[in-house]
Amino acid sequence: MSFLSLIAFIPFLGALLLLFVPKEKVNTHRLIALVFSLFSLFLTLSIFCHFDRQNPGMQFVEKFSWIPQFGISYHVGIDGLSYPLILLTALLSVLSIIGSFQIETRVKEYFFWFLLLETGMVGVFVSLDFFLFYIFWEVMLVPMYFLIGIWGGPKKEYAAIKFFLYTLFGSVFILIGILALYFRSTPHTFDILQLIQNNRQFIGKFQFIVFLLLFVGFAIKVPIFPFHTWLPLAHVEAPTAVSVILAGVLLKMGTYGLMRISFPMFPEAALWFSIPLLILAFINIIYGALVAMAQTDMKKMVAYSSINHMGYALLGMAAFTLTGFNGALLQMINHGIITGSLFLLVGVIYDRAHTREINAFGGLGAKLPIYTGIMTVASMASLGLPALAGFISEFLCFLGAYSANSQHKIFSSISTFKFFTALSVIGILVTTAFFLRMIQKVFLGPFNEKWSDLKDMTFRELVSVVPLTALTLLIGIWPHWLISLMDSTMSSLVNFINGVK
Amino acid sequence: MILSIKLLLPEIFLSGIAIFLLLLDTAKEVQIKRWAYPIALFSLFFCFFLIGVSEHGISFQMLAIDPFSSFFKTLTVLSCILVVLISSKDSILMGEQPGVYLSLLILSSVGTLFLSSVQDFFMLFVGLELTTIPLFILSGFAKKELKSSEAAIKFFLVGAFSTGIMLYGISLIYGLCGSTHFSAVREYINLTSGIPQDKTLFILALIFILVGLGFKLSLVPFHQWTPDTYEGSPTPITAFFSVSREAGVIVVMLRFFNDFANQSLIGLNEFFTLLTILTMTVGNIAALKQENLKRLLAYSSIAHAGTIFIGLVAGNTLGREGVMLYSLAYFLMSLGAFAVVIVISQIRKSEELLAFQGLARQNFPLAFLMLIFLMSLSGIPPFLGFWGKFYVFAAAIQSKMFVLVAVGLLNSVIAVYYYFKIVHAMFFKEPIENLTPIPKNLNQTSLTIATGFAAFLILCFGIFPEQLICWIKGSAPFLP
Repeated sequence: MSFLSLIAFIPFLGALLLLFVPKEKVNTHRLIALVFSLFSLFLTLSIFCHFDRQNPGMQFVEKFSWIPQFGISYHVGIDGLSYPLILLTALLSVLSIIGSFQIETRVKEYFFWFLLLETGMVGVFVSLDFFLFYIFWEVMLVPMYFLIGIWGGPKKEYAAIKFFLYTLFGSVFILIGILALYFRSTPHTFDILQLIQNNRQFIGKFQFIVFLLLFVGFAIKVPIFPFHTWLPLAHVEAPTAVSVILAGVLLKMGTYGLMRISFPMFPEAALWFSIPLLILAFINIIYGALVAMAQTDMKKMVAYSSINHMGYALLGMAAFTLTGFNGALLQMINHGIITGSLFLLVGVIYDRAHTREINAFGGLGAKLPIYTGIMTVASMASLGLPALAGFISEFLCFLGAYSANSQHKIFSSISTFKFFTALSVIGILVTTAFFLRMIQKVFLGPFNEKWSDLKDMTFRELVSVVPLTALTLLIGIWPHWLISLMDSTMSSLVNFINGVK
Repeated sequence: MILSIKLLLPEIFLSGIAIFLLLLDTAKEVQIKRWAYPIALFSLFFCFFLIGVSEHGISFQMLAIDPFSSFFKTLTVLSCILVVLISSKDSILMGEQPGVYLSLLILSSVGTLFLSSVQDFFMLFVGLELTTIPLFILSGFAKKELKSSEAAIKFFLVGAFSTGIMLYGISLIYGLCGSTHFSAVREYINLTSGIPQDKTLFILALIFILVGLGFKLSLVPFHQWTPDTYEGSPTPITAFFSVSREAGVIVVMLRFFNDFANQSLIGLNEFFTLLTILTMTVGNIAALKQENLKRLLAYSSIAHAGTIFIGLVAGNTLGREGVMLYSLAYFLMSLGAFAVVIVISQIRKSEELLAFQGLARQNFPLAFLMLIFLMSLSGIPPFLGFWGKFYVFAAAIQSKMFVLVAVGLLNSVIAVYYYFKIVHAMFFKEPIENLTPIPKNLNQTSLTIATGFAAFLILCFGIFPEQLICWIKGSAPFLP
């Protein structure tokens, strides 16, 4: 049975179905969106039992010729790298759809774009043909543009077009890279697996140039330091559920692209760039944390903390060790879960108080006990408290980077890695500082009477957040079930990259 | 003789129909005049059949009827049909003299049909004039509007001027080669390869011809007339402009200039490259500031002409195929976008961006159609416009023209900004209150069919381009 295509295209079918339901039947729209995304999630979960954890290669592969003149095929498949991310995507989509039930304006359009977005996201993670990958990559942008631009905050229109142009600018580089690879490879092909197999064809300068081209495209999505300026604006202006998707899934596409495509295709260039990557990761960590600390708006704070958290993932990737890679992928998943729940929670308080200023609140702990509890768990996970999800992955990333022993020609690499890894720990301190300050100012201290009629979380809000909190605890206490999914793929990836040295 | 005539069935048939339509307009009763519309439509459809059955060969030594010309003929007739459909409710064009309008439209298309198989500079000249002279009249068809007259005059003066330049180039070619046939020119190049003094004159002649064609294709710096003419002409004519004129010139360029891109003539390829870069960049940057949709689409057509030109400059098989595919894509999306502009301007009497505000709230399907055309114009997959872009850029990368690719792709990002300015107005803004609301039911059957059909093709070929690419691959090798 073609599981992957179903997972990817069921939301699309839902979107088409929505078009035939009259505009006024708002609840039907919500129901359709929920049912179709749930179905997609159900199929993703059912793969969980059939997924062969020992097999590092592609599973559930489907391959049809699509445009034979260019050797483009509809080629999809999953391995330990993409499957966890698809799980994350399907889960966050369902929860965000539940989380956006309170949207009242233009409901039909909203869910139409949302379901289209889900198709695009799953498509990016499953496609094994570079061309197909590019198409899904671009298709995803348009729904996002509308979701931010129509249902977003006060500066939504500017945020939408900025996000759109920024990402499009990045994907232009990817397109050049794809075409360059196509014409360089013999036989000409867009197939990612084939390109990786024959990566010895890409030697010398070519390898470095194409690596950089793709890197710009992926770095904008991550975002890596000088390319990050679209992120705060888009995250803050987007409606709550869309911020969840933006932070939870879209940011992972950059790092996914690096791991799936750039690293194995150009191992030599990748290893050469490990030190620059390390430094960029360091900048992301410190810069993201410091800027987040300066924010008084909770959503902005969470948005900047994303830059910091993606920095950890990058740190793990720069190490090119198994521990580092496992940590990086786990960090991607954890960031999706934790930051997703943080955005949802900030949305909850914003819906009630219509402000997100940290200083406007105080002493909410006694008034909203459930909210406070969940928010505290999410914040603690985000700052890396042991026994919660964030700790495991951050620890693995640091461990991986600290024990890296890449044979770099310019720097005496081992001490460079140790140096920057040690410095990056400062990031954790700063993160702790701003999360604790937020908890203190919002939930502790004297109660601000202005908020005396705030209500605690509703059932629907709990449904959208609690699964994420539960996962945070589960991964924190028993991460093995998740790591076992990725381990064999990651180890073969690391061996592949280092073997060609 | 008879054999040669047999090859030209579509052209002859359409010319006859055009004359008949002209005569039909002399009828006194309006009821009879109205017959012009179905007759024109039917004969255009019949023309598809004629193109399909007409044999291949060389006619009168001047026209080559081959799969390549059939491809462009099909395109031309298709776009003519779409234009007839979208202008069916236009009070100016279809009002008093529907026969005159339709016959001019068809005559201009016949010119493009001739151009698509041209083998000789004389024929090129005649075909080009046959294409443009009806357009002069058509652009001034709204006799009572000053802007329309301005458009016609500007277009006419520039057209006459550019024709003069081109003729001068052709006479130089004749002086050098002793013939105006393309093959004679090709022989001349082979003979003189290595003799520099004649080469200068020869290149000069080519540049004159190119400048003449450049005016018609509105390449920068020969583009200044375009926005005014586009804005002033009745909108269906503007739509027709953007396709028929381009089709004719592009096909000629493919047939003729393509040979020289491979011949390493000093400086000519650089000249082409420069022209392409200028055209894309100026077109796109000028379009950024436009508030009038017709002007915006005019500049965007300039930019697209530049992008299509990349395929020519690349000078390989992929590039030629890219030009063909891009032309088809551009026709469909440009006609579609103009059709939506026509709907809006008929209801709101304005083509400004403001008139598009809140369209999604009032008529979502129409806004959605426009969105498809605009996304295709911006080259976002999986729409047909993306394939055009992909094809020409792939060709340029294959020829290792990386500067051209970089400039072209940056331009495509700029273009997205102004196309999405329209999307922004349609989807993000609230409708302006004192403008007439766009009704849910447009009551415009033929317009709906035309736009729906264009959107359908854009989507269908965008997602499953295999058949289309097959067709193009089958036609392209017939280029000399």
